[in-house]
Amino acid sequence: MNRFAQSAFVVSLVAALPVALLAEQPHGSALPSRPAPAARPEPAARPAPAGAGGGFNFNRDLGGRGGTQRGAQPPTAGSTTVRLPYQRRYTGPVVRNGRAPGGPWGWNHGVAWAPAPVYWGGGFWGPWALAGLPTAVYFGAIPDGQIVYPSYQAEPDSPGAQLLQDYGLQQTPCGPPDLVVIWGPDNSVICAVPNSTVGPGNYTVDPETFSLVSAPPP
Amino acid sequence: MTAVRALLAALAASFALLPVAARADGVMRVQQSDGAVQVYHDLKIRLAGHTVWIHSGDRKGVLEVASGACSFVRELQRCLPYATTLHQHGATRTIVLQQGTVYLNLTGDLQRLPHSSQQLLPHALLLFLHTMHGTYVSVKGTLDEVSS
Repeated sequence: MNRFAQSAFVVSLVAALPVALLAEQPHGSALPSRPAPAARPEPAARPAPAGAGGGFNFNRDLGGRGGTQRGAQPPTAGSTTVRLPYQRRYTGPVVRNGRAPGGPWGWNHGVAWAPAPVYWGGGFWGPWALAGLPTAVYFGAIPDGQIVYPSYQAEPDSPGAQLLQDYGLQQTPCGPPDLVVIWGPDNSVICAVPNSTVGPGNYTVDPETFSLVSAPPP
Repeated sequence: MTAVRALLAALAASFALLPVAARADGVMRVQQSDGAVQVYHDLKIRLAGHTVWIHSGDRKGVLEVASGACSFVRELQRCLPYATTLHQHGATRTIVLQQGTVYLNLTGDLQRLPHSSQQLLPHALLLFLHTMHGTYVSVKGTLDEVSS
């Protein structure tokens, strides 16, 4: 290889490498994406992997029997193990959501929304893990025969909070009469103060159109 | 002519290096309930549907994280993990989750994390898990593969 070719090869190599290294720097800093080890060593950090034979060390989580993940089956349509996340499906009049973008799942950038099993309401009202519900804000309950369904405050960035906002509804603790009662995935329920768009009564959510469907008249 | 050919070959070599340099840059931090911390580098991160596959740097372990309830905060996708499985040493074991969050930036632009000054790189992932045994896991890195 002549000198020109050698120079071109070296220049191209040098030019190629920083592109990847700079990728994570929002302000264009030339620091590598991986933190420098001398900057701030993490307390008690150990070299990895510590597991025998390589891979990851999750020994504390794998101790004893493997355990079973509650509701770990993905809610795949067409599967025989499909759960019924929307136990209540009303067929009354639809209160159309005029603020949701059109098209299937338009409110969710066209991505189908499916509940995540280990969260209250499948995660529709926020990332409230069933195992950690005491940390969620309790917002009353709805008794239905022998069963009492607790309600929790919707998280501001959740789809459920967006639904309330689209209808101009203000969430309120369940319990008093004449509220808007919205049944979400996995028998979750929240209540709201009625307004000029949505009157008091029971509703379910049509997840695809992001609209409320009222209970049929008695 | 030879010089031009050599230049083209050099350019081709440099482009071939680009994906190698950009791939498998994931970092996982595992903090056990006793405070011990382990950090894993050079992870390969694969997204298939709403399931994330995280391959260890030595390719001997794979952590599978299944998520649901995927919604958007502006252009940033946020999912909730509900099942975690470790595939390692020929065995498949469940890691019981309490809760977690997966942020996905599938766009070509930086995206700001909700209520945060931090941003997530284009085509990158940020994942947090809290297991039932009190282990905290965080993963950050570029998505090496994305499939539906």
